[in-house]
Amino acid sequence: MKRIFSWMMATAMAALFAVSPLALAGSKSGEGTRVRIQVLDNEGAPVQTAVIRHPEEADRHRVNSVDGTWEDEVLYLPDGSPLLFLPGEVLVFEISAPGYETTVISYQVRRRGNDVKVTLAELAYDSGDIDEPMMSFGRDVPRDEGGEAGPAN
Amino acid sequence: MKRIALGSLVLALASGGLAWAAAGSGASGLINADEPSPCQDGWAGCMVGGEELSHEPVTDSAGRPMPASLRVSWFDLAAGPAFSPFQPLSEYSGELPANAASTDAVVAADPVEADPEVDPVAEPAGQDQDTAAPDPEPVVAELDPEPEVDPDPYEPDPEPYVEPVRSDPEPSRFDPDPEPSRGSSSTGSSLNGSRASADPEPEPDPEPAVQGSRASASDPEPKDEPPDDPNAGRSIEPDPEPEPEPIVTEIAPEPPKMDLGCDNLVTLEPAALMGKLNEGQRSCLEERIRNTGTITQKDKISRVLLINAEASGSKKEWERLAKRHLEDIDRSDPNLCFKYAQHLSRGGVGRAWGVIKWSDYALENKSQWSGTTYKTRVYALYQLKAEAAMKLWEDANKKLVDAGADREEWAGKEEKYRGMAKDYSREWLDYARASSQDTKKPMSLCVSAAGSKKFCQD
Repeated sequence: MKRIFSWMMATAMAALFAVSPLALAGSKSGEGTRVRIQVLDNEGAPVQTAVIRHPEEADRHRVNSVDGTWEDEVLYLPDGSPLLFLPGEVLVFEISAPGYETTVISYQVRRRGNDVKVTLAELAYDSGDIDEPMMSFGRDVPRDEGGEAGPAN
Repeated sequence: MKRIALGSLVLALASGGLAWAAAGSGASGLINADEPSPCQDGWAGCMVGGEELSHEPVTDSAGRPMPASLRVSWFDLAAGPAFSPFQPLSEYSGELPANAASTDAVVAADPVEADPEVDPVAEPAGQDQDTAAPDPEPVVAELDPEPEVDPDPYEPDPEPYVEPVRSDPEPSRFDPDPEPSRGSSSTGSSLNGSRASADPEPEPDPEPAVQGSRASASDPEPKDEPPDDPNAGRSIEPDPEPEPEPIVTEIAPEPPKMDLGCDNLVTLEPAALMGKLNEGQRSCLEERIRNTGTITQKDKISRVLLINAEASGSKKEWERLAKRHLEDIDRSDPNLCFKYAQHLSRGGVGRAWGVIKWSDYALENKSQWSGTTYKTRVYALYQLKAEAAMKLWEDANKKLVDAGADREEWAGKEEKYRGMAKDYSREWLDYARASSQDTKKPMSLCVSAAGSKKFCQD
């Protein structure tokens, strides 16, 4: 009996130790590699209102309003499945901000030091090129008395 | 017989002189009808290379004379003044050239002197038809030292014609009160006295008083007395008095009359187009807008004020008038709505709602446009709307970042304005594709608002 009980305990302990690394690997600080993206404008200042999104993702991730950065190791898709940032994988991100042109980047994850800086170009509002119409005086226009296309004819 | 012979002699001399002049070297300037005209335009004289060309002979490079009509010199075959057949008509300015003016002055300075003893006006007294031959008519030359060229031949001469005045007036036969001669009265002859009383006696000359009285007694007819002035026999025009220079006085222009009436709008249109309506007229028009009942009349008056404000460059005044026109009078004119929306778009984010509103009103009446005007203005209106929505979204985003307690409110606004920006930019993109216009700008706006290209793809 004692042998059976000790054998069962050793097996459970072994199984426990075998599962825990996998569990640790599946958590945020576990399997995925942290990737850090910083969004800047042409002058090097952080774009406070920028958002980052994966093309297959529904949600948008806002950057830090102080330094314009965002970092994470995994994304969750609309069906709930996680998208891990593993070394060697190529990730696509859409970075946009109001008043700036949207930029799409693709980045290959490395083992460490995944810091990406993205510069956004400002949008140019050139409504000044629109020609102004001329105003006219409100003179009466003579009525066209053609009478050929009237309903009575 | 003697008279006939003398007349024939004179005629012969005259014809001989004419023949001599015609056969001369041409210095007199008579035109030989057989020679071709030197001027290519057919005139008897013309200006070629700044020099006068006429029928007078010209010289070649060596100084040899040759006819003016020769195109090429006889000896050295050099081109003459009449060489080019493409000379245009000489310009006639109405002024004589310098050499022609000097020639005329020489002619005027040497008039033909008339015989001082022959009076062309009065008939020679006591002429015997049997004995005396008719004298030829004396040549009367008009003294005109300064020939004046009349630029306009149709204008009357400035100087009136002055009849020549004789220095010694001719004693009139019909003098009513002639002085009786002393001689006749002293003799007391009845015969002489009767004769004197029957015929009126002429006035005696003051110097030869005795002689004049004796002559008047015996000869009642007037007598030609020798003139004292040698020029008395000639008809002389008095020198024209120099005209005084016209006195030019500058008259200050009358100050423009202030027209404060505004009943006739058509008469105000030119001033309004220039932005020159005065304050009285503007006040009058404003008063009419307040008092006029019909909307159509208000519309016309308001347009005059609007155009005047725009022409004068007063943007604030124009904005005030445009806002009043669109909100109180009429908003069916898409041009005015468009113009006002464009004016508001130049402002900040606070006017973005006005841009969207009046752009929508203009799009409601876009059917008044046609052709290229329709395409460009509809494209522009969609652009104004999309950019206004982008400004609102941008402003909401900034306020969301700085939001504190009202973060949720601004989050909601940010989402709302983002949706507006997405929709308006997508509308703009769709119209640009449909009208085959530029899609780059609307695409970038759409992708920026949507965050992805998938939303903006066709």
